[in-house]
Amino acid sequence: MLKKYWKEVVIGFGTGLLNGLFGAGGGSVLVPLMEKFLRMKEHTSHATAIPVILIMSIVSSVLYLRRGYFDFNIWVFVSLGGLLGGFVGAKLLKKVPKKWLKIGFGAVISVTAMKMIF
Amino acid sequence: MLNILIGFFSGIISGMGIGGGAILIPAIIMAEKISQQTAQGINLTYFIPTALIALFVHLKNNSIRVKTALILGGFGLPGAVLGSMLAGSLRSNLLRQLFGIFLLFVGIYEIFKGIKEKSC
Repeated sequence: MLKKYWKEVVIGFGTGLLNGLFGAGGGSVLVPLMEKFLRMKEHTSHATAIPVILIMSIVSSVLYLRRGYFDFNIWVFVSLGGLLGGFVGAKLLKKVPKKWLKIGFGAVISVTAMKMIF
Repeated sequence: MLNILIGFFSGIISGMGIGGGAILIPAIIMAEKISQQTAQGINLTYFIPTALIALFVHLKNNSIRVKTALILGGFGLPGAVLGSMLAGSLRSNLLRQLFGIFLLFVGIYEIFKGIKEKSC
């Protein structure tokens, strides 16, 4: 049975590894992989990714917290902002053209990435 | 507080369906002097409540391929354990640089995806 689902096994393990190692980005890897190799449509890939990344993040969180990689103070305020932002973002989604959002966002994080590397 | 703003903007990005953690982690690092691992730990935990709400909505709408999700998640668990242990074994500076490289790939990919996208 595993032979039939080998793609899911590899993608799942690889995404978990990256999500655990970097504490982020699981979705950025998982969604394109599911669309390309599991032939999912955009809406399904985004929706299906959520429980997967959720499970991985819960496990990773526990391991990170056990080693003290956490700050309650920062987390509280960030989460507060995040909940509000999530609402705003979901509403804005319909008004902003996705194309420029992706290019702009991609550019910003590419620049940020360079700063982190050097 | 600055952290609320950081969370707010990350939330907007996530709400629009792009990875918010990619912005959150670098932003927190610039605002606070903490290790790469701690920033990642905050992001992981911050994601959980938001994901639970989104999950509930998607389950109601029947958008999720449950069987696939279970297999992915099931094999993702050992990956997550391994990845988390690896993160703990690296120096913060090195992990930060590796994160940066990963982020660069994600950023470039987003740009290409954006260019390919049709403008309405």
